Amino acid sequence: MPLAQTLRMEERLANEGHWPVWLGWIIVNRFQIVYYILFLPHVLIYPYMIWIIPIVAILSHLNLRVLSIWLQTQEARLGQAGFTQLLGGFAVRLLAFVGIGVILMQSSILTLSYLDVVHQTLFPSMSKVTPLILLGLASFYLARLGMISVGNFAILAFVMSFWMVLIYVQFLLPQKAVYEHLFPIFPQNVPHHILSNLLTVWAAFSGPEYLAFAGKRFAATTGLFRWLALGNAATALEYIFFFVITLLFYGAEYLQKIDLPVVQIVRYIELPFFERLEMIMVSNYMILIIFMNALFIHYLYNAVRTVANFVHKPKSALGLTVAAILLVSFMYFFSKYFWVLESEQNRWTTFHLWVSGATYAVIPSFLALTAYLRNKRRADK
Amino acid sequence: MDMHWLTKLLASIQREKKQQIERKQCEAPPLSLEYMKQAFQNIHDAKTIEINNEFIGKITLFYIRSLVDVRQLQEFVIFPLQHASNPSLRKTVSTVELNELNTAEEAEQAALKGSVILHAKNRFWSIILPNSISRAIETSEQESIIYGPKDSFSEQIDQNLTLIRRRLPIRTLKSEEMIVGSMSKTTVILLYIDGLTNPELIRIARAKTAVIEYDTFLDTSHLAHFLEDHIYSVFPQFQQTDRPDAVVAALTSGKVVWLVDNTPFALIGPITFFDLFQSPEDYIHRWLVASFLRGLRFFAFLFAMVLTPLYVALTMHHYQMMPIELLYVLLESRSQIPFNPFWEALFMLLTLEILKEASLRMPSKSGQTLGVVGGIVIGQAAVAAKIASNILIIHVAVMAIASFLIPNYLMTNSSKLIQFGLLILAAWLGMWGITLGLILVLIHLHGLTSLKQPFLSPLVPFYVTDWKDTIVRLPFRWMNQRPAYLNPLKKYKFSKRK
Repeated sequence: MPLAQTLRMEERLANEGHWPVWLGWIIVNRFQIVYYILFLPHVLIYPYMIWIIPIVAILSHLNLRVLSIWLQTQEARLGQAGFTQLLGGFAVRLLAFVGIGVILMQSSILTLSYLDVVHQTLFPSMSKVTPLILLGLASFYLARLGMISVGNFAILAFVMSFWMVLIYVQFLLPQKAVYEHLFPIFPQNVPHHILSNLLTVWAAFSGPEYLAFAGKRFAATTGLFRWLALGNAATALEYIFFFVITLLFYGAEYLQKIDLPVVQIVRYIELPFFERLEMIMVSNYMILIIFMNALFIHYLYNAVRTVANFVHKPKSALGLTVAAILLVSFMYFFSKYFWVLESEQNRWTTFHLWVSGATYAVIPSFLALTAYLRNKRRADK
Repeated sequence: MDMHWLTKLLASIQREKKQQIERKQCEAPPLSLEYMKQAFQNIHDAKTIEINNEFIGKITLFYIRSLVDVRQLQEFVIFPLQHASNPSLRKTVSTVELNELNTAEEAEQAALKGSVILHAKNRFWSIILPNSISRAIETSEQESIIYGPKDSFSEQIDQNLTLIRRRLPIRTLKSEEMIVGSMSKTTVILLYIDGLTNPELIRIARAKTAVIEYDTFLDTSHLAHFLEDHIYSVFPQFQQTDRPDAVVAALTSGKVVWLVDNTPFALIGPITFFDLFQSPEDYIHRWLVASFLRGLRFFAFLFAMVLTPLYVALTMHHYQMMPIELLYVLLESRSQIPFNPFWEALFMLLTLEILKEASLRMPSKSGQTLGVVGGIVIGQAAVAAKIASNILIIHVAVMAIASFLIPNYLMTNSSKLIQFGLLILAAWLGMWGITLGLILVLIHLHGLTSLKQPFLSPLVPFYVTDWKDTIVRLPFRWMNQRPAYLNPLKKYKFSKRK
């Protein structure tokens, strides 16, 4: 009878272990909320905008269905070899090259946005370089345990971050909650910027597309959709919850005037021993950033190996270290030259929004369609 | 055809091994009386007795007096041999076990383990008659409990095995003897329940013990250092206990246990992080009380690690986190302290550790006095001399008491080290630094294994059934399954369900 044996560090990189199927819901949920939980309520302002969340959640649900169809294909289960079979060596290398850019940009914007919140909430006078390097080191410390362990770390990230939601429950109750703020629940006129809001919320549901490249990591893919859908539903509920509490507490008029409403609202909680609980919550949020960056290091390492045509060589600790250094160096230079002015930051945030939305929409359908056409062609022959 | 080269390679390796064994046998000196006398020369208590009996002939007994039970030797060996009335040795000394010896090395080892070497009719035998010096079975000092069994292990491995076998009178309780230490020749017994413990686990334990190479093993912890998967970790990866009931509980849950000769502690593996917070008393209390106490221990562990770093973080970086009334009290308390909070806390923590270490090394009565002098007098004096604030003294005292709630002493010491790390991070990066430190500890724990099994189980990997006996302890009736992470061959504890 086999044991769930875990391996030493040097063995872990070569380990072809698996994630249990149910882990899918935690990974999807944490992937989705990692970035937008801090910013989303600032985008959604008026009560009637609440309907955007379930509408986009349904679209996301359908997209996850497509993703799970792709993950069930033989090509997805084969990993790198499957992609080569499907698209050909050159196309895979080309897409991996594009992927390197996307990973570097997304992880940099994610990390720097978080560090901005840290800077604003905890250390207004401190340089961002030190926490940036420390976050990179912590992510690498996790990444060195191997892809399987990083995936399993989602459970810890969930346990360590989900409790924060409970802190906000008091804002649903009277005294703090003003229920009139929930009206009008239906728009009285044709709402403006509806498309841009839809795009933002769609981007807020992005993240699971990275699972498209981790098909072989799951122990099985039958029944995977159920779990992915559960994660998506949990995200939708969290988004609705955060939108409702900020709306009930601030009201639409004030909500559009403040930055980071989900963070700011915690300031109003007073305990006998502590105030300014947002300092604890923002610090605690770091676990999600470390988890995401650890996964990005692995994705980056695999993408670089594909581009450099090193996929047939065994993975090495040195290679992973180089990938981590590349990621942190890119973040550093990005923060130094492209993330200085607020206008630049806004531009990059919009760019991130578009890229996230596009990758989430395109990757699952593209892969599922290509696999379908290939298999159909093969069947016709 | 393709595998032909492999077959040849394996055959050549086997040939080489056979030749090596033969070479060793050729090199080994022949077993003789002269050899034995020469090997044990300059050992003052190595004795030789010659007996002449008309039926058996000349008999020589060779033994080391300090290792042999002389009274038994006289009664069961010398007297019967002197008065033998037939030529059969086995019939003459029928009350003791005779084992024939073939090599000089075997004879040497047997003599050094407390056997009498008997030479007669050009053949050698060993008679096991060890001098059983042992203290009485006493109450456990390390894991004392109010209710429940009081007996604990002693330094005698056979006696320890007896205490276990009395609680587990089943033939499937297997005990494999191994010798470790090129000089200490320490006997190690690997215990497991056949048909219950996962064979893969037994294989790993056996393989890890077999490859140990070191000269001296004086304690169970020495063995643990060689068995652990991660030598750079501060966390203990095996559980050491001197309680037979704890060993039996581990065996019946599907774990393996090592008994080491001349030490009263057994080694249990694999363990998880959560096992380190469990006490045998948890299974004696009502389940609600036991669950509350367990929860309290986890809280105390976190509290002991974080409390002082939190004080430093708040006073150095985030004073705005304190309510204004509390802030006034703190400012007044710290107003005349010349050091910043980090140095103040570091000084007090080091003083506390010095006091704790000193009271451990002192005789028990002096230790108590030292505790009182240290705790009250030095604390008061530090406040009066304005080198520490009284709020910090309260913090440190509460933290010290909280750390005593952790049942595993090795774990308590590990948390101290982590605390100092968190203190530095708190001084440097405040709350963010403490959180970073805790996340690093979590990642470290996530990567740890004990006997190659995940240390954070049943959290990661997640085993829902194991949560019945992790942070809470549910009623016995509900705990019908053995820990899933151990993958035991018998999943259920109840005999009705296989």
